[in-house]
Amino acid sequence: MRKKSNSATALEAALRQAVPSLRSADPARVSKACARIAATPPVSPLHLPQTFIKPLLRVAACCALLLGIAVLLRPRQPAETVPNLPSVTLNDFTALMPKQAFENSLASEAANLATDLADLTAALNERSLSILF
Amino acid sequence: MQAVATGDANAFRVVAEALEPRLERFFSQLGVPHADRDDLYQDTCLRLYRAAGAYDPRRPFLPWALTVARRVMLNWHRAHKPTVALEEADGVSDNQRAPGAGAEADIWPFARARLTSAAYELLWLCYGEDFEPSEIAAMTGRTAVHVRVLLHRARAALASALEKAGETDTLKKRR
Repeated sequence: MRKKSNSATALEAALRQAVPSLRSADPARVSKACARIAATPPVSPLHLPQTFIKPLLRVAACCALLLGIAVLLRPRQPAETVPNLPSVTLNDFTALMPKQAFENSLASEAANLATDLADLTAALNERSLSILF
Repeated sequence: MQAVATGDANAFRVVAEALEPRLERFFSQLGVPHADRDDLYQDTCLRLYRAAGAYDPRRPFLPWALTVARRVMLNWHRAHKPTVALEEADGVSDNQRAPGAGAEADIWPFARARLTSAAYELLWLCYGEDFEPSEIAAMTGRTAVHVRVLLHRARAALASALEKAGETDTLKKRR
């Protein structure tokens, strides 16, 4: 165990000792970099994420959060009352509809039903007879 | 940097001068060829100049600057991934030799040849640039514990490779 830790320490020491030393700065290279910086047009503050977009996103997130909370905490309005329908009895039909028109419509419905019944009977007879013969 | 943040380009010259040797060594140790180091240095300076407003003066400057330089370098590595045709892959020789006794300066090239690029980078940031694991964690987007574990593994891998290389050397000498 001790041997391992000794070798690890020796390795660390060897790594630290073998680090190449720093040379002095190259003025030509520095000048080139500075010239490039001077030649580059300044970035518009609108395009700097740290100055514009992040605060804007934070404000938008806060607004969305507040809106959500407001929607959740909004007091619920009572449901609108359904208007009551007037209760109508059979006796009130006479008041709602003229008697003559009522009789005529019922008579025509009865005539229609009788015709339909006659047609249905004729069709049934015809089919049953066709099965038999 | 506060003066730089206000747009003072002359103030940045001092920063650029102080950083130049450091970035040169950083790029050269992490495998950037000499011809491309100038471009990377300029790109890093430009980014630092533009991001000067985001710099927090309460924090140390060098880890922040090297984080920017590292990102510039990673972009460069991504764009210039070295590739070898499959037919020529056998012809690529491993010409790294093991460091002999007394040749301590060779340990970094040896480590670069034997370790993965991530492990080598962590070793360099820790022992070459002398950063704390927490600073390395902030630079590389890992947790401090993860960095410690990776450093431990990298050291173990390097020690094992050195041991193997030493054994083969002694075997060669015996023959």
